[in-house]
Amino acid sequence: MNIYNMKNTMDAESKRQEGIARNLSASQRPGYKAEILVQQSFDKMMRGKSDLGPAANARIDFTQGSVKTTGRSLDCALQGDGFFEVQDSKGSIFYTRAGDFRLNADGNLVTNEGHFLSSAGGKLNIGLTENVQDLRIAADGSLSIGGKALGKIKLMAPDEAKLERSGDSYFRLPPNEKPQAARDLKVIGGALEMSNTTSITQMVHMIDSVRQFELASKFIKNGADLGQSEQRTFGG
Amino acid sequence: MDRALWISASGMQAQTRMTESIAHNLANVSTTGYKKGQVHFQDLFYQTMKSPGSTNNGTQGTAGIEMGNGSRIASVSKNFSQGNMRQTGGELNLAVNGDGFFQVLTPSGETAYTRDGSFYRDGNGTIVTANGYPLVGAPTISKSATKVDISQDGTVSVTDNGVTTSAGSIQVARFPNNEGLSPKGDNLYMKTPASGEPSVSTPGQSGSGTIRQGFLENSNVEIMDEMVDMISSQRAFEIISKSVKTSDEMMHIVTNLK
Repeated sequence: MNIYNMKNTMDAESKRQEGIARNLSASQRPGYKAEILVQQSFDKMMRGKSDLGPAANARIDFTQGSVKTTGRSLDCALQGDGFFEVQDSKGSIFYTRAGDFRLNADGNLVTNEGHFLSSAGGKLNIGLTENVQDLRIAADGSLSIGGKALGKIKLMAPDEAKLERSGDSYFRLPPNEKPQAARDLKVIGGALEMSNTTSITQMVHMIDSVRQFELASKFIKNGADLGQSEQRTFGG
Repeated sequence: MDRALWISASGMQAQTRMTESIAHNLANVSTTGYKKGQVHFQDLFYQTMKSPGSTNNGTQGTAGIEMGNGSRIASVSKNFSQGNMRQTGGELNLAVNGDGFFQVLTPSGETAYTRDGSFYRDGNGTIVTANGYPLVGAPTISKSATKVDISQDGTVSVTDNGVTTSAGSIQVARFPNNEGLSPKGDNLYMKTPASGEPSVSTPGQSGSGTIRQGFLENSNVEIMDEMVDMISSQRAFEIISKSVKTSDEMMHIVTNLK
């Protein structure tokens, strides 16, 4: 054991605390996926087997969030494995399960950040001629107003293990990865998938984290005290 | 830890805004034609602490650590679902049953749109809103008129000295995207590029709602829904404040190391 290992634990715990703060702050956000900071066990660190590099790694918890009925015609929730595909103004592709879309001045469906929702042939444009209030969203993502087909939402199932976080509810794939089309995914119109964080879990993590942090600080203090007494004994 | 504080602060701010929006909705629970506001959240920038795929003593980190900076409210949009109809019997109390807005003329000459159908006759016999903005398409009613009838398709008939004459018609405007309308207060909305151009039609035709005389449209705020939102927002605020306290505790531990 050395005090630098303990310092790593404290660093990691403060990062974990940030993650918890983020999970809690986003607890009301549609499509938010909780982040879990995985760290090496305290035990492993005690035995000095840990390296001195960053001690923690962020993982994303992709479990389904609860579905809330909103009745808003442009809200879509997803049930099953997969994501909506959106692209930003520079053409970068992101995956999200946040389904609170809006219609912009050009008739494109966009997210709150202004990213464009994709259809099979690029940006999904439903125009501004029909009344969106009457929009129907089929389970396979097909949109129609009054029987007139208006395109289909692109549903993809990228490998969750390879997805990287790129915002509270946006994820992206590394450049060389290709996503699969979603197979077992249902779109529910007039509903939203809410955040998948639960306050109980976050609260427990918070308590656990602060105690680990405290424990590590005790070891540092002890280590320093020990050093001091060694100095007194042998330093003359 | 500092960051944990800021993230929590942004979360608490977002919850405060949400509570404000709920308060606004609740304050307008009996405002005729009021449409409730709905809060939308937006991502804040993410900051890469350790880029994904970076190596760490030969082992590759799979996820990387990307640190977000919390959440914020992107916008408050209006929910244009139909409110309940309330019978008032008032001659100039009108409601649109279905989609569509009344068109009124603002003093600047622009057309504003409203679902609030409580109209009045002013001194000149013009049909105006509570603010005095004239209703487009409505006729001027002579002082001696005893009765004004407005049919479901918006036709206005005026009875004067026992003679009923048809005197004009009220039309309603529909927008491709109601949410794109910009709220101007006083229950008025203005068109924007995002709302699209209005299509004005006879009530009941091309998908628009019909006009009901003697009715007013209640606010579409559901007290139960707002209460549930308020509780969840308040609890979220409370638990985020715990995160602030915890970060504070951790900083306290650090300062006491030596």
